[in-house]
Formats: sequence, structure tokens, C-alpha cells
Amino acid sequence: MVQLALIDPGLTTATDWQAAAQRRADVRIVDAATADAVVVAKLSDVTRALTDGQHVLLCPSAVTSVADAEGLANSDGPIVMLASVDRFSPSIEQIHACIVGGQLGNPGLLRIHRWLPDTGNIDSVRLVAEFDLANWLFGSLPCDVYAVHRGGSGAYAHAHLGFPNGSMALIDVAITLPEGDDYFSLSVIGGDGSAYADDHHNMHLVYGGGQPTAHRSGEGVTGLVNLLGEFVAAIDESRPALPGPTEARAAQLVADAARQSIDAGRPLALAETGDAYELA
Amino acid sequence: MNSPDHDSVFRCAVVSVVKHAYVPNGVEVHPRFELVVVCDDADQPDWVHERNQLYADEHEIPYVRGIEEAVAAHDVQVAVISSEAERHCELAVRCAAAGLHVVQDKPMSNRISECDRVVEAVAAHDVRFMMWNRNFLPALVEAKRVIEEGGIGKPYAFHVDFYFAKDSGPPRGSRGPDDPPINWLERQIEAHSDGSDGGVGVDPMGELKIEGIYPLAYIQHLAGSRVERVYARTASHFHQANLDNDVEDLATVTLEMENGVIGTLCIGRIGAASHPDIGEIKLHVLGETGGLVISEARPEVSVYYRNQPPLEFRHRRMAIDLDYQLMEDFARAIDTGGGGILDAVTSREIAATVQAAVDSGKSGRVETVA
Repeated sequence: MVQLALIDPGLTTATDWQAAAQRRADVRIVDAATADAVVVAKLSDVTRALTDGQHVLLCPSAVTSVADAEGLANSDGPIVMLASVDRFSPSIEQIHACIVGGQLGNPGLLRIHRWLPDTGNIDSVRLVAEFDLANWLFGSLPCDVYAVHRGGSGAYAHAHLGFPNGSMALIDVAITLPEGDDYFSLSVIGGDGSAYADDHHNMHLVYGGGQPTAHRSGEGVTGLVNLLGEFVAAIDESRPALPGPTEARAAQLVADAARQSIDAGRPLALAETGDAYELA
Repeated sequence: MNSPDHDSVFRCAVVSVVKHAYVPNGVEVHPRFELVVVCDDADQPDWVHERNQLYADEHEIPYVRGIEEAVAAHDVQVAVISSEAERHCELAVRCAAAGLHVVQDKPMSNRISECDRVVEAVAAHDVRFMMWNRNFLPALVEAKRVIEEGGIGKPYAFHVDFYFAKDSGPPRGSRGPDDPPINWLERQIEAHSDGSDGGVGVDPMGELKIEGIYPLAYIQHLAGSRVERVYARTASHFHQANLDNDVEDLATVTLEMENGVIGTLCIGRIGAASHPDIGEIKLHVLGETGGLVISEARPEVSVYYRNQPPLEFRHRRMAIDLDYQLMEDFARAIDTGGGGILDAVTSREIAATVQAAVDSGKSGRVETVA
């Protein structure tokens, strides 16, 4: 049983964490004083928790650079996991399972649209999360990164990634939707098949006069439940939890390359060391 | 009531029809266009003459081996060109020189210099030109309406997924160590039976050249902006014929357009197993005050039944008025001297964008559109 304290739940509400924990027999939400694991949203809280011997679920927005991610490395002792729910959402889990199971063949193309109402800053949160998904689904860092953006405040960013064996990805993130629902779609084209997770497919219609309005069937807290499952399993098995500091560093590395590409107007290529990007 | 001039019927010559015949079949949907003759150059190979003859026989019109002779003998005003890709522009230039308006199948050409010849010929002889396109599909008409009515504010990003869930001969990796590479033209001739011969011609073409005009025409139609820079990734991911001939069957393209507008394209011939219908074809448009998600296939009707053939589409497009509207637009262009939905200049710009994408896929660099 993991005794989890919500020190700072970040963008996910405490209510959702509570709801997710209620669906698991191996997690209980407790006060900080009795916790053996914590949810935090600041790097300083990570240090404090690790010193106290507590496992950590870190809200991804806390990590804004490669150095931040490297600072989380903790080879021994308590586990540090990013509380990034994207990998664990039911739709994306299914697509990942299809890739790993070989049903789609060699993945050749990934397309992600992530459109949000104005939530502040794309770079520090969303684009990095999509890069983590891309790295995870292809199982490697991209070998080429090209990116463009629009709007001085970074209201829109688009990244064009090349992966080994000719695979590729297009990712765009916008924070220009009006207040209200967001939109997400992710598709994978493989050598033997394709898969689509698309909000467009999951809309219901409401007729209240004039044009109907569309309402999405969401995935509830299932993604958070699945995330807690990985966290608990990693603790039980004394192994790194995924995504952890290594994956956070990889996503930040791609984000850095994207920023450089936007500035230079040119693509960057993964260096021979496999650990840095340079202008192509 | 239309004026008498605007009711006249245009007599059309089908100038080579070696592909699946959706273009001449689409032309004759409109009551103002009448197919009166099929023609081609006499020195064409036998398989070309056979297909031309078959189409002429099916439509009970003559087949003439000699284009200029056919035009002179049959009082023709419009040429409908659906030859091998590398002949498209040469035929269009000759027909324009004969004073014919031209409807041409995709691609415009596999060489930009040929496209330039068409632009010059159309202007010099004051005839109208239309590349066949899909801009009047119901979903595109709806997208255009929403944007023009300000439903998403000023649009700034256009994304198109354009996948054809078709096979194209043996899959990648199927060639034995002693087998010769697949000959492109032979493969395309063989593919005629199942309608997957969109790349028919001697010169191999990837999906960007074969189908790219459709999604790029969508973006041009909706954005009205010229593409300036292109970055692309390309791969021969699915089909042995593409791998053997060094042409892509999967590509992603980033388009940087005038006024800071951004576009992207995913395109591929992704195999019949990848989708229950023709393929996932979607448009995503972002505006300054909203977003638009469009399924190009809709409206459609779903049909399922026992013993349904595996490759029969379960979701069938319907209420498609594309052919009529294209030809209505072309008739209007002829009547008024206007440019029409996809004229020679715009088609040439799209062909140049395609070429820049192909070049970028090979160079790994951002390419400027010529």
C-alpha cells in the first residue's frame, strides 16, 4: 500500500487524484506526515522528499530544461516519476500496445494535434509532453528536428521530427482556442495498419436550437488510475518508473532542439554522440 | 434565365485516356460538356491505343489516331487530357495552341519547366485551364463557408491528412535477392485493373506528385496564400515498387506561407489494411478565435451485411456534387474569361511546392519554392 500525500497536485485537481486513488486498493491519500510518497509541483519539493526517503510523483510543468531533468536523476533510493498522464490515457495506451504488439507493423508516421484554450506557455508544458509521447511511441530520440512557431508569445508551435528508418512525426500545439474544451488527436500510420485516437470520433450532439453543439465523452480519471498503477508497480519492483528523469531529459533535449530550430529557421540533426542536436 | 451564349454546349475531345477515367467521366456529367471524340498521337504504344479505343467504344464515339486531325474534324472546343503524367503538359500546350480550353488530370507535370510552358500557352492563346481537383467536395465547401463567415477568426494554420488506404503491388521487403527491381511503367499498367494506376507513366512518381495536388489545392483554396518555404520527410515505407524506384509512398510536409500562415501535410498510400474505407482524409484549421476539424469523406452512409466483400467500403460517400460543380465552374470561366477554381498559374505554384517537398525530402533542408 502506497501512502500518498498531495503536497501540490499541480494542474491535476486534488479531486481527480482522490478519485483515482479510490479506484486502487494499493494507494491511499494521506497527510504529509504519514506519507511514503508525495505529489509535488516544484523541484525544491523533490529534493526535500527524496531526503526524507519519500517516492515522488512530479508534475511535468516543474521540469523546464535539460538541467532540471538531470537534477532529478536518482539512481538509488526513492523513485521519481513524472506525473504525465498522457502515456496512460486509455486511448494512447491502446495505440502503444498495438505498436509494441506489432499489429501496426513498423510505425512510420505520427501526427498529434493538441489545441488548448490559452493556458500560458506552450514550451514549458505541452510541447515537451508531446515530444515525450513521440519518443516513447517510436522508442528513440528523433534524428532530425525542425520547428516553426507563430505569435510572439508562442501561441502556436509546430514540430516536424524525423526518426530512424525514415519514420516521421508532425506535432502541433496551439493555445489559441477560446475558453472551453480542448481538442486532441493522435494517429499512427504503420507498415501494416493505422490507429487513430481523435476527439472528433468521440463527440455527442446536443440539439438546443440552431446548430447542434458537440460534447465529448472524456476518458475520466482512468489515465490517472493507470499512472498510479505504474508508480506502485515500480515501487514494488524497485525499478525506475516510466516516465522518469531519463525520459524527461530526452523530451527536454528535443524541446531545446525545437527552440534552436525556430530561432535558426533550419533543422537540427542528432549528433553522433546521440546526446545533443546540432544545426544540419 | 441564362443568355444564349451561356447555354451553349462545349464539344470535348478526350486527349488520351490511359488512366482510370474519372476525369472525362466527370466532365460529361455536366450537360454543357459533350464528349465527341477520343484522340491521341499515332506513334503511341499499343497499350495506349488499346485503352483509348476501349474508352471510345464504351462511349460510342470515334477514336482518332492524330490529335490535330481529330480537333479539326470534330469541331472541338475543349480538350480533356488524361495521359501519362510526362505527356500532360506537352498535350496541353498543343491543345491550347489549337484554341482549345483544357481540363487536365493530375499531376500537372513531373517537371516545373513543363508547367511553365502551359502557363505561357494558356495566356498566349487566351484559353481557360483547369487542373482536376476536389475542392468542391461537400466537406470542403462547408470548411470554406465556415472560414469565410468568420467562424474561427482569421485562419493561420492548415493541416491536411491525405491517406489512401490502397495497396500498390508487392509490399516492401518482398523482392527476392535474385529478383529484378520492379519496372515502374509495367507496374502501373498492371495496376489499371484495380484503379491504383494514378502514377502511370515512364518516370516514377511518389505520392507527393501523384496525389499532392489534392490536399495542397485544399490549403491553397482555403488559405489563399502562396507557399514560400518547404520542409519535408519522405520514405518508401510500404511498397516494393516505390522502394525499387526511389519514390516515396509516405511523406510529411511543413509549409511556410505568406503572411506567417503555416500548413502541414501528411500523405501516403498506406495499404488496404490501414482503413476500412478509402482512408482517413481530414482537415484541421486553426484560426485566431477557434478551430475547425473536418472529415473530407462526409457526408457518408454506412452499409454492413453478411458476406460483404472484405475490400468493399463500409462507409460510402454520398451527395457528391463534385463533378458537376467543377464543370460548372469551368463553364463559368469560359463564359466570363475568369480564372476558375484551379487555373494554370495556381496549378503551377502547387507543382512547384510539390517539387520543393520532394527535393527537401532528399536534401534534408528547407527548400524555397521556385
